[in-house]
Amino acid sequence: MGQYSIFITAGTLKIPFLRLFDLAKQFGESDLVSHVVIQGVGAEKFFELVNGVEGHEFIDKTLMDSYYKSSDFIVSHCGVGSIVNSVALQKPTILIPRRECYEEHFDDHQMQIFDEVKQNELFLCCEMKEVSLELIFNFVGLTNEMPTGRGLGIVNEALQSYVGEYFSRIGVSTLE
Amino acid sequence: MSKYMLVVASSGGHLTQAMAASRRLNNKIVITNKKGVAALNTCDIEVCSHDTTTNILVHFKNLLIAISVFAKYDVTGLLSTGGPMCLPFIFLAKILRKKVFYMDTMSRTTDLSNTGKFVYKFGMYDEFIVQWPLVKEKYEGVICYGPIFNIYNSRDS
Repeated sequence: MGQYSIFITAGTLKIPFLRLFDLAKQFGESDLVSHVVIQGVGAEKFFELVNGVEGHEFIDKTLMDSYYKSSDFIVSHCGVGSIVNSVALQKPTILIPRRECYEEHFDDHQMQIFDEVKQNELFLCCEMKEVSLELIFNFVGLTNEMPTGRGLGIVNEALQSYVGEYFSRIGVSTLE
Repeated sequence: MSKYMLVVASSGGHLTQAMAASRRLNNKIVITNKKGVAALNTCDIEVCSHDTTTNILVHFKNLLIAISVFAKYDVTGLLSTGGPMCLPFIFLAKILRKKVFYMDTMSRTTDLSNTGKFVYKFGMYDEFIVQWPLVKEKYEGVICYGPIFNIYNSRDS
């Protein structure tokens, strides 16, 4: 029985991220992995026949939060929602951008946030061609040795206040 | 009696940003293209719209949803972080002279998103926020407070 429980997400975009599915299959076959859950369009059907991987087309917020918390690490497309969840919960995360040339997105804009988030040691940012299970398990081992840290308070309060005051001025009530 | 605001964003990162930006506000009508994905406050209402990824005609179906929402609730303004599904809601809000607060997504660090470019070009906003200084430099009159989330916050920082 493997030691790692992994959550993989391709986001809510209705374009399949098939290269991520292939990676999920490799995890499913690894002796180091105990459980793999993958979420993304087409995943439910694709992984019906693949042993060791649980596929979901879509997961609501409550279930998504519980998978994030219970997993040892996350593998994700390079979307802001996934990045924010990982920072908030301080989960080691492998980020792989969807690329236009593989018809995984309309353009290559996931490379932009990919370049920014590289600075955060919680993330292993790599293109799919650079990924191997060995690289990922090494990275997760290293992050487990890092001190567990903050992660809370990641919202930009100045911007939140600006939005709050704007709508409060035009008659929307604020939380007590 | 408090008025309602619309929070319109496609599911995923756009919605996460819109919900964080509007966290301190109550009486939100949250409109997105999937059910059960938003973290709502007690007085918030969730409305499901159609996804526009595959079919542009869906904008017309979403316009009908926008009309029904504006007819049913006393809406004073709209916050959107984009995704093309937001356009009919923004369009109708402008027609009805409601305030439109557009915040372009933080996933675009060097230029506006396509939805952002459209909203900017046709002046479909009262307030236009961008999240990165590089984007601010390119567009006159936009405001920048930095990204809504600090994504640099690593374990040892």
